[in-house]
Amino acid sequence: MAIPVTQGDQAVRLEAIVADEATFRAWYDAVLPRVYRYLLSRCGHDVALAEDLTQQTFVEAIRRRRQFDGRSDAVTWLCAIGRNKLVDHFRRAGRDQRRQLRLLDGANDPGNSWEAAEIRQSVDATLARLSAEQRLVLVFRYLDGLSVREIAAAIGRSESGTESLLVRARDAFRRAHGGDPDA
Amino acid sequence: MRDDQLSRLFASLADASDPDPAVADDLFELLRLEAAGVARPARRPWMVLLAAALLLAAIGAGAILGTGLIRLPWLVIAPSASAEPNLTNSAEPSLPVATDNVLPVGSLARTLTELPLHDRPATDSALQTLIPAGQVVYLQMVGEVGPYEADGTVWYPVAWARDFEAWPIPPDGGFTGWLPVAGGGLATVEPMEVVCPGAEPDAAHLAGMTAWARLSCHGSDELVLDGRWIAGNGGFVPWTGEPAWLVMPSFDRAIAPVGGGQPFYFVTDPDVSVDTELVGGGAEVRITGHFDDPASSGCVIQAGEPLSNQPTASVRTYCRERFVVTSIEVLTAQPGQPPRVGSLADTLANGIRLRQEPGTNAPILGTLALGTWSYVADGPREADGYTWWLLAGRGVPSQSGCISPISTDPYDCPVWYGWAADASTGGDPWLATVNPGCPPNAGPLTEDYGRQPLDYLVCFGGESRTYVGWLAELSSGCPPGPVQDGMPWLACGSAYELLASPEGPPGLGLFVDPGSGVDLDAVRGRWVRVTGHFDDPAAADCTFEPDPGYEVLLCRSRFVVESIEPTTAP
Repeated sequence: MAIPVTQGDQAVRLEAIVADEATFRAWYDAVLPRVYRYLLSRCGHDVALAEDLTQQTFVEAIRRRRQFDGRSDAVTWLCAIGRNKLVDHFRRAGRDQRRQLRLLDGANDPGNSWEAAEIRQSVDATLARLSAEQRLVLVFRYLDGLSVREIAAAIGRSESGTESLLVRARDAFRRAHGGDPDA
Repeated sequence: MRDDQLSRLFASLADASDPDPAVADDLFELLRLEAAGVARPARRPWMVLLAAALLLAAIGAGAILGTGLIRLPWLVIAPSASAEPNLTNSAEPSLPVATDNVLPVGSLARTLTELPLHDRPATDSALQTLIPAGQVVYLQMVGEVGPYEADGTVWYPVAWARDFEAWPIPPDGGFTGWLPVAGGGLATVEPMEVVCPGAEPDAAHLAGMTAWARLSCHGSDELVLDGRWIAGNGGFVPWTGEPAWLVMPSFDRAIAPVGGGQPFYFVTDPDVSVDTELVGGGAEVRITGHFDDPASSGCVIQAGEPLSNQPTASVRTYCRERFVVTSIEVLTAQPGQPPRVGSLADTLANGIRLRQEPGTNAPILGTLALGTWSYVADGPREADGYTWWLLAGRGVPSQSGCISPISTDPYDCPVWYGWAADASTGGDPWLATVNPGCPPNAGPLTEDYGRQPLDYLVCFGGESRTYVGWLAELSSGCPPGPVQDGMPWLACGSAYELLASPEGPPGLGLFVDPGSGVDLDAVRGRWVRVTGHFDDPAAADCTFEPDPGYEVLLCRSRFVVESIEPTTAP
C-alpha cells in the first residue's frame, strides 16, 4: 500500500507504516526474522532468550519510532536497539556464571551443514568458557564487524578500556580454543 | 590467531532460524496495542502544554477583562472578529506548502470550519475526530515533521483538545493527528495573532514564551538580559549540522533569574570568548544578543540525522529562533571554589589528565577538555605536590546521543572515572566547583528529566521527592518482582520502569526495592503520584568490574520508589 506523503524519511515511513495495520503487519513480517536471527546468533542460540530480546527490541522500537534517526535502514536500527538489549542482558547475567554457560549451550541449527554446525558448536563452547563481557566484545568485533569505538559506545566503556578488554578476550579465546595456530 | 581467522570462525554463529509463528503473532498483537497508544499516553511535546497554558491563561484573562482582546504580559491572542467563521471569511485564499511565515510550526491556529483530524496526511486515512469551527489547534513543533501536501491538501501535524479544558491531554482524551489546513484553493484555519509587550523582556519572560513567539516579538533586536550563568556542555546531541554552534543544542548555555526560575537557553557567537574561570561557578552575568541571526540562512542538518528530513525552511526557522549572544559581561564574578565531594567540577584548562590513582606516576586514562563538567566522587588526596580528586563522568542522559562537541580524549560520551589534580604547582586553578542549575525544590518533572545521571546526586542527594506522571501499562525494563539472577535490584541496565512526564518524554526511571512492598502492577496504566529518593544505600551492592566505584555512583543516581498511588491527571 502506497503511503501518500511527498516528503519524509524512514522515520515518517515507520510512523505511517505503524498507523495502518495491514502495512504494519507486512513490514513486521519482513523485518522480524532478520532481527530475530541477529539476536539468536549472538546469544548462544538460546531460543527463549532470543525471543525475549526480540520482544524488548520491537516494543522499544515502536515506542521510539519517531526518534528513528534515518541513518540506516529499519533493520539496522532495530539491531542496534537489540544490541543494547543484549548488552543489558549480559551485564545482568554477568554475575551468574551458571546462567552464562547455559546461554551458550543452545541447540544446533538443523539447516546448517555438519561441518558448519561443528564449527559453530566449537565456537559456542569456547565462548562459553569466557566471561560475558569478553564474549560480547568478541561477537561485536568479529561477527558484527564493529570498530573499537563503536563497541566502546555499546558497552559504555572508554576506547582504551575496550581495546584492553578485546586484547584479553582474544587471548582467552585463543587459549580456550586450543592455542594460536600462528604461534 | 589472526583477525580474519577469528572473523571466519565467528561467521559460523550466523543463524537462519525463523521465530516461532505463534510467538511472532503474540508479539505483533503487543506491538499493535503499543502503537495504538493503549499501553501509554501519547507524546506531548512540552511546547504543546506551554501553548495550552498560555491559552488557558489568556481565556481566563479575557473573561475577567470582559473584552474581545485577551491579554497576557507578553502574549496576546486576538480572536477573529467573525462570530461564525467559515471558509468564505478567510482572507487568504490558499497557503503554500512552505508555510513557515504564514502558519509557523510551533504556533497556534484557529479552525474556520469543522475539520477532520486524520491519522496520516491523507484523505483516505483513518478519521480520529471532527474538530468544530472556532477551535484552537497547536501546530506541532519541528520534531513532529510537517507540513505536507498530499491529495491536493496541505496537512499539518496538530494537537487539539476540546476547548483546551482537558489539558494536559489525558490518555483517553485529546487528539494529535493530521489536519487539512488548506485545500481546494481555500484556507481552513487562520493563524492566531501574536501581540507582544512593549517593555524590554527579561530572561524569565523569554523562557516562558514559545520559540516562535520570541522570534515574532523580537526579531533581530538586540536584547540585554541579566541572570545567573548556570549551564555548560551538556554532552547531549540529538543531531549534527552546520553551523554547529547554531544548530546543535549541545552548544547551548543558559542563564536563569538570580532568584531562581526557568532557565533561558542561548548559544554564543563563535567570535565571543567565554571566560569559564569567571562564569563557570555560577556568576551573575549580563548577556547581549538577538534572535534571527544571519547565519540561520545557512543552517543545515546533516543528511541522515533525525531532523534532516525537515523542509529547509523549517531548519532555518529553528536556527532563527535561537538566541545568539554577542557579548557577555560578568556582573558578579564567582571566584573559583575548589572541588568538593558530591559536587560538580568544571575544568578550567585544556587537557586535564585523568589518572588511575592520585600521583604523577599513575597510568593516564585520558584527558578532559576545557569546560568539561564532572562529578567529584572522592578526594582530596595529596600526592607529588598536587591535590587530587576522583572525577566521574556524569553519565549519559536517557534517549540521548552519545557525542560530545568537546574533544575530550578518549571520551566521546560523558563517562569516565579517574583522578585529576585541581591546580598547578604554581597555584593556577585547573578545577572549580560549578553549579548545575538545580531546581529550587520539588518541581515538575520537566525540570528534572534529561539530566546526566550524576546530577541527581548533586541536586537532590537522598532527599525525598514527589512526581506525578503516567505509569506505562507495560513494564519497560527489568521485570518487577524478586531480584533476578542474583543481581542487585538497582543494577538494571535500562530504566526499570518509566514514569512518563505530563510535559513530555523522556520521563524518569523508577526502581523498586523488592522487599519494600511497593506494587507497581496495581497502578499500571494510570496517572500516579510517586514519592521516592535518589542515593539509596542499596547502591553499595552495584560493584561491577572494571569500575565498581562508577557503577555504585550510577546506582546511587537512580530514583527508588517509596510509595506510589493513583491520582488525577495533572
